[in-house]
Amino acid sequence: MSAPCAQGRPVSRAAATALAWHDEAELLGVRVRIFFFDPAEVDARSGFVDRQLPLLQGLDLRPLAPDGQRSSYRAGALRAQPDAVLVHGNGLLCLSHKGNDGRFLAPARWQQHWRVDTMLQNIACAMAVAGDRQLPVAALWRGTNVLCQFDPSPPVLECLASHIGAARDYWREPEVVSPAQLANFCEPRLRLLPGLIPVGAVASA
Amino acid sequence: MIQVQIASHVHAQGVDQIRWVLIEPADPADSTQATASVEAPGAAVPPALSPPAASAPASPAPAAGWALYLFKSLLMLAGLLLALWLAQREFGPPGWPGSAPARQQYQPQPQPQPQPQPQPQQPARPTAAVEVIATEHRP
Repeated sequence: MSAPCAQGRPVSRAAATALAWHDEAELLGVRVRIFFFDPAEVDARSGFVDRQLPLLQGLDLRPLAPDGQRSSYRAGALRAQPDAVLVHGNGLLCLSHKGNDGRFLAPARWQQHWRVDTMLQNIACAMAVAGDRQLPVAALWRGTNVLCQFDPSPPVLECLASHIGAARDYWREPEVVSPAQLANFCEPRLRLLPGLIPVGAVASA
Repeated sequence: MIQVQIASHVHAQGVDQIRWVLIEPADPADSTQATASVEAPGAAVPPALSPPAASAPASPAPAAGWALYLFKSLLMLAGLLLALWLAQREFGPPGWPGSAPARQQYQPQPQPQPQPQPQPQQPARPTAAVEVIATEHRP
């Protein structure tokens, strides 16, 4: 898949608004955009952005932390340590590449093998970074052969934001709660919210 | 309140279409004031859920406390009735002062004498066949 623009070149408005996502779907109140790639080819690349963000290869993305280091970000009682945070124009990209047990996601059946907990953890990570840095943050997840961007709907954001204290009490954490704990606490509540399309319904449609 | 901005779209130049949400500060002293101001003008996300205090596991409800108290009382009453029944069974009915005869003294039940155990019968020994020879002694 070719990059939308080359490094250092001016990017037109049309090219800027058209990232070549291969598919997208609404899963439990989150709009998921997904990009498939060949891991054998992408993992052989040398640059961090080219390897971890193949859809954005060639762009001038600057990581906040030095290579190989992970920083902690905290917003209230939510503390996250994403794999990478990159400056991208007027905002940040919060990237994680854990979860899904290293499984391949087939383009035709990726929704059936979707992990909601991984998705919610990444959104919670992005919330912690956004609250810490006070900048708009996009939540990205890099799987074995996919790159995903999560666009949570307002009910999902509100659910995660309003249950941080309750999740901390539930897990008996004295000070902060992790994105994994918050996601685990909020997932059954999200499934009970009216109007959200469950993952199974989307997969079977 | 801590302002959180999540981008809905990523393009080559940056991010756009920002969604806003507010997070409670970590200090619980500030959280009470912050929860009330969820619908601040800057918050584009309407509160769709109840506050976290409503969904948090809380202390037992008053109804549960009353049920526990009632259960304890019933248990104590059952124990008291059992003790009274056992006392009446062992010592007889209670005697009221002036109206009933004196309370019977407790006398232990006579222990039955142990019966002599019958000796187990020994199996008869097999007797050897002895041939009786009648002899006659004559002087």
